[in-house]
Amino acid sequence: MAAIMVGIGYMAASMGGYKDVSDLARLKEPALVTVKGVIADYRADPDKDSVVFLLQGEDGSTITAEFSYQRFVNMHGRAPGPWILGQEIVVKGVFYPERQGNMLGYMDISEMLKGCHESYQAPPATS
Amino acid sequence: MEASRRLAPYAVALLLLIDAALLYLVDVRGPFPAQVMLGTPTAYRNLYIHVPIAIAGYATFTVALIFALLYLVRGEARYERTAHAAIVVGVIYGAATLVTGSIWAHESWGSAWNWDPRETGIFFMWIAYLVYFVLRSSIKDPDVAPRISMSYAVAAYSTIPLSFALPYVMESLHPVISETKAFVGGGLPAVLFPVRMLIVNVIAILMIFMVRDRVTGAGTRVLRAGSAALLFIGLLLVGLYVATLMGARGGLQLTPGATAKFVGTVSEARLLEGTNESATLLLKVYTDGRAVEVRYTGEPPVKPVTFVYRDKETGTAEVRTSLVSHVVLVEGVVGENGIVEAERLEVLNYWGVPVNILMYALFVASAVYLATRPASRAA
Repeated sequence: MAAIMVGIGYMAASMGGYKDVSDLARLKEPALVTVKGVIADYRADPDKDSVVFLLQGEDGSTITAEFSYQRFVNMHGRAPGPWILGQEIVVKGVFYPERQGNMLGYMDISEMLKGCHESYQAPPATS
Repeated sequence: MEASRRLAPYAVALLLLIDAALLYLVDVRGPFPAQVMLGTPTAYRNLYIHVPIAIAGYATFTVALIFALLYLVRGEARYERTAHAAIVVGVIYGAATLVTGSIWAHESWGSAWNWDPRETGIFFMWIAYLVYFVLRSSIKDPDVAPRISMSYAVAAYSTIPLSFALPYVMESLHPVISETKAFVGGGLPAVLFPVRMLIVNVIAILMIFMVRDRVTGAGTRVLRAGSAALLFIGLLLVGLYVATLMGARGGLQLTPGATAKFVGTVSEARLLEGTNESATLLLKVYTDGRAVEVRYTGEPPVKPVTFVYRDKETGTAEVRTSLVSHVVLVEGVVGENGIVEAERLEVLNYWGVPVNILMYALFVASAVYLATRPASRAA
């Protein structure tokens, strides 16, 4: 029974785990996915409430991923700028495959996530 | 044995009072990383709240495993009662782990629930132990029910090493121990974190035996008083937070000479001059979709005012200002150049810190209720 529980738990966690942008190459139909990638470029348009990221996977393949500009500002406390370049992020949303060379397709981001691993590198401060 | 049973409620009540004082300290002075990747840094005060609760959940389920095994080997009913009480307390702490973790994740990860491997693992563990109650109550034969439910409790424990190990084997937003160790390894975190960890875990373990035996007499009143003190601190901190927000209501018109009072997020901060005691800071504060320049001279609301950030991967080091990403209350006058000359600059806590303290107090109160309820309502 213990082995079955570990098996089910591992499978459940695996299904919820994060794939790399490059793993999206296997998708042929639109799908809800959660992937991690590095921000290689971005284009922000506050008037259209849009920020489009160029996310790069481990093998160099890329996707464009669009998020709400206002939500980005609310979450990060500042507008997207060069400071986001090179950052690894995890995004959840519907991916629409449309392969053109290294470009795998477009993603409509519903949630933008970030782990807290790097935060613990900073020293303690207090208010 | 009888003496320790009588003393346990007094010991837990005392620990709850100490814990209430510690949680107040966490809320107002708890250290946080000088720079975080997402959200406001004060959200990391949840490190002292959420993590000890999660470890206490693991600890109570470990007690359940030990006593379930003892029951299966020796067949004595007292072991079964202890394992059952440990699962009751563990499920309460498991629920507290899920709630406090989600409230923290909402700010620091960008989403309250996202099926992160450990999040999923803890949820699966919690469900596995909930099934224990369904199984136990569904077996009508009193001779068979303990043996089957204890066997199940042993099997359910397999979900604990699984949930703990998942961030080590899969991509996860959860950090691993070596990452947090760097932060809690020195200064006030090196005291506050282990002390809270110890107190929360001792309370949880003692709670198991009080739920098993049920507290009677004067011990009931003392234990409830300790729990009430914790609840009072939780309510007080939430109340103070709401009062601060209500007091922050003002307005912002960037016309020279106008008074300004607003809440915003610091997107850029520059130390013009000064030290940790007194400094002049030039800030860019985001509020209502626009960036406002703010100049402040006085005691910095976050100390140290600057810090050296060392990038582990590249090995580079640079001096950064620690006010960045904080939610601040600004009160001052708009100067001729449109810069707000702030007379007051106050860092606001993440709402999830006082709320999580209140949540913890409520979960502890529910365990105290189970330990002190009248005999007629006991299971």
